[in-house]
Amino acid sequence: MAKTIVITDMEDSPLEKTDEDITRQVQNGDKEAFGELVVRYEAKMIRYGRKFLFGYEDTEDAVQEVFIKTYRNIQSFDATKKFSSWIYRIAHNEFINTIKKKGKEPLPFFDADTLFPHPVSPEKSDRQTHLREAKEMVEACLGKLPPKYREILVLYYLEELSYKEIADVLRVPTATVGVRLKRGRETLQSICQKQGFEL
Amino acid sequence: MTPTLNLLKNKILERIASGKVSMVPRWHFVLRLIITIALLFAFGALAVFLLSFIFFILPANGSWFLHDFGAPGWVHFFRLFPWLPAILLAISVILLGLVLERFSFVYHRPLIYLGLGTLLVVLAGSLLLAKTPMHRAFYQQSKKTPQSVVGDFYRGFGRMHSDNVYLGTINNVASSTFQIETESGEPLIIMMDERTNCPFGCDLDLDDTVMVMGNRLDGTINAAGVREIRDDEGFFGPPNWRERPPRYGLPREMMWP
Repeated sequence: MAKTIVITDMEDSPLEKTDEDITRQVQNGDKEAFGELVVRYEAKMIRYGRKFLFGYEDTEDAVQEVFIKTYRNIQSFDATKKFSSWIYRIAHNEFINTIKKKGKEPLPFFDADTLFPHPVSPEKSDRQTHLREAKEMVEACLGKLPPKYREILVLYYLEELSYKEIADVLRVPTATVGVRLKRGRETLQSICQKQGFEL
Repeated sequence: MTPTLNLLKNKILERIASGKVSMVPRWHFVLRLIITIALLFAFGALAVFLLSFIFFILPANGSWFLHDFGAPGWVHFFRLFPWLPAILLAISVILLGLVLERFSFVYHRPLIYLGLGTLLVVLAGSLLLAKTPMHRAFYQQSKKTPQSVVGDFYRGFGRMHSDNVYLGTINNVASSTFQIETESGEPLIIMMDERTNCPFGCDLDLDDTVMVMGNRLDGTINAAGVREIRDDEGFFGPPNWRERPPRYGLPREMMWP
């Protein structure tokens, strides 16, 4: 029996396109294509928002605002760069604004970790060593962490962004990401121990 | 795809379709970038101008030479320091840093590099600018056009306001006394004794420009310090300082009629 091979035209399928390709389409006036970006990033943004804005009620509104701002400012996006870092940056700003508006948690005006150069710890081994236990700890003790550490642990262990991507999102040197992660893990461990969390 | 996900997608697309949410045009971002770069140059130029002004004005009004009198001289130096340009300089450097921080080549590096880099560029620029005749020309202009803002700036900082420091030209010399004529033409008698601090020697001649630090009693100054100011030290004198032809390398009798 002869097999029929059906070749479908995949060029226009949104699933085959990169985020940057879709962004270019939106920039050129295809408003509907923005829906695909919403679909691709909604779950990530909600997860990031829920973890970073732990204990805040209006996460969904904040996430919706992230997409609105993304659409509004999409002409400023340079499609040769990574869309994911850009949208995470918008989300970071939006979530920080939410924290500021509520005034429940203090946010540092200046971060001394960004002042001096630090040696960068090897990213790959670091993630492999700590991923499972850190994920569990982050889930269990997240609420007690200060936002500065909570966010970086969420981005690294739950969103699985690289040091470079986190540096782009937070606009800090890559070495600062390593230092802040290390401090965040230590703070998390001590909070978890105080809460009697056993790994 | 869950209905929740479609819900948000539809909600946002509806808002876009209804025109409630619209895209900011590209020119807006281009304009913003141009304004950012313009601000960068404006704050940079202001910082360079102010630092080079401080480099110029300190020797020009004579206050730079005060530190040669030791601790009491330093006290006067800090009292007479042009703090307003210095504060404006600090503000412009901070603003420059804040504008620079918007660029990825800056925020991906430790802040110390940004601080040191900014200071180095401003310092190098101001040293170069201080070498040009610009400040000299503005300073001379300030004497001619008293109404201008720039004139006020140069005239204001060109004068030392201190009750204990006097500048003048020697017009009479005796063994431990000499007389100077100040910028306003006032004659002052300067009394020296063994405690008088002369950092470059107390051997003074007629027509020497001197800075004297000490307490005044009528027309007499009990000099705690006397320092000759040489012609090559960048001293311009206060705005009313009388013009003299340069004396470099020529016999004194030919230069000072």
